Amino acid sequence: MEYLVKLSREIRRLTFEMVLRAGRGHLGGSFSCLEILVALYAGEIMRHDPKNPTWEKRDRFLLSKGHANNTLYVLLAYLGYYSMSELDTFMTDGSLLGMHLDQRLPGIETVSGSLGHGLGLGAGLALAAKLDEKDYLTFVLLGDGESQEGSVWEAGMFASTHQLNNLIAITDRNRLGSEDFTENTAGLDPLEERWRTFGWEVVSINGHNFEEILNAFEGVRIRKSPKPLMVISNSIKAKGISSLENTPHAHHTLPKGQDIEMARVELQ
Amino acid sequence: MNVYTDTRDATFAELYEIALHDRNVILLTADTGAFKFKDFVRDLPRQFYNVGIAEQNAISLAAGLALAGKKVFVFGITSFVTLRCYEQIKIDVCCMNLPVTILGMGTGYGYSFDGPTHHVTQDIAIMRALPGITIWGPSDCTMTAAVVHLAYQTQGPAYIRIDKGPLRPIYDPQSPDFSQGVTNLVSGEDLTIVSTGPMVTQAYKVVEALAKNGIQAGIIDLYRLKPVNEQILVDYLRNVKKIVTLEEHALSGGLGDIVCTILADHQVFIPVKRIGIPDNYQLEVGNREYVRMLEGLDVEGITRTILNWLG
Repeated sequence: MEYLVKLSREIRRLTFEMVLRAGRGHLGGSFSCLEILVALYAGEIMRHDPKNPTWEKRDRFLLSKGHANNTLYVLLAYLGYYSMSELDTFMTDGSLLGMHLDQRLPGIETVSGSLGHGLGLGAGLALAAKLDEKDYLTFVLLGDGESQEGSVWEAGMFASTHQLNNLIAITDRNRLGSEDFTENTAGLDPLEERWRTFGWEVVSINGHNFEEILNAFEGVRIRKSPKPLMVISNSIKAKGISSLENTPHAHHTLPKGQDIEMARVELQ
Repeated sequence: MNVYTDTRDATFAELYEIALHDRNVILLTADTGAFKFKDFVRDLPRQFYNVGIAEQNAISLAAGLALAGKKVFVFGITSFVTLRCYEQIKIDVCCMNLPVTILGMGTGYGYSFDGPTHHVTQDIAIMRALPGITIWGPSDCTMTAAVVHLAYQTQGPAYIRIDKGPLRPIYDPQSPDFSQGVTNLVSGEDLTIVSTGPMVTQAYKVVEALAKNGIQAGIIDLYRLKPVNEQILVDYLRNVKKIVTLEEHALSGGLGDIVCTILADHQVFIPVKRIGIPDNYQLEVGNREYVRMLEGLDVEGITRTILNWLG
């Protein structure tokens, strides 16, 4: 667990520098789900092989909130999916590392950036696994703002109706959309209860606490429940950068002036 | 090829045969029915899913299945399985170039009594804007059955405009070859009508009406609307005197625009009259011919428009 904490610190620091270098990014939503991503990839939750990104037995991971890729880019490079030097190209002409996800990048399953697509795609992958009697799991990371899209709930109904218990979704519940708090625009509370009534098994955790994260996914391969699993990951947008934390402008604003150095200190 | 009198039967009887031999073929329906579905339910329950009235999810689901190696067909009323979920088609299917075929039921005023919610008058315009998709507009039952096979064989996104007609039997079921994408059905001395889907049947009637007025008109069936076989279409049109495009679709972005663009790109300068639906929603209630008549798309209206144009 200590390793995961240290790795998170390193990924956060590297991501910050990468985004700062580019002058743009989505730090807020990338940092709210950072510990979840680290746990999935480095906490022995997902089955994957950086040296063989298209390994047939790999678990499928879909970052449905594709704009949170800043963290994922760094994490995948750190784990060896591609060279760390690739990160220097982030948001430059001809790079595979754009503001949104491109499936040509090793480790990336789908084009992603528009919200409300991932859970339906994931349900299709999960259904195919059932039909083909394959044991890979499909993980989908959703935003809570994203969950204001009706298509998310269409997919949710389908997944529970067809008992896709090999589909694992995580909602990064940072309580903020792009411009405002979700409860001010199209409220999602009580989110856990909503997913339960949609036929999902629901676990709610602190999304920055590895103990809680690992507990939530324990035994995920041998689940007895026929229901798909939703992990509500309560998080803080822009976690780790106090000048941005839990603020509406955290979506795509970067720290400026002295806030940059302050953030560097905080991320050490 | 079997002989069919109903395009839905043609579509799903052929797809059933394909699915029997390939368990990776999956059919999704957005709660839209067809007689043949009972055979899928009985014999192929793991390859057939009614996903409910949820077209956006139907497309994303199809794309997810296709990512895992499935060849997926998605059926629904055309307006809802194209316009409603356009962004899912763009990103999940076309952007990732996945083998998903959209089977849209109804074109133009096919659902005439159901009003503008069910009228399908923008689908060509929006779907042809998607890179990578193949668009089929079959004009009779034989062609409908055949293009299901072509869509299955194509390793990419496809869209079939299924229409319940009335459709004139045009093509010989014994030798269906639709690889060319365009057919010169009738040659005409004075002008050539380019049409697609059920309006090809209408074109035959217009040709008869024009003949009574001493006008010899030909018919070209442009049934593959994307990618258009431009060279053959241009070869067919290069030496005709005048061209009429005929469609039960908005004039904005439809068949007429396709033909005019291709003629311009190939520097073929022949007078063209586009006949289709003006910039208008049709709220009047009535059967298909009645609604067509209101927009000048009945045989008499089309004939009158052409005669007036010819002067």
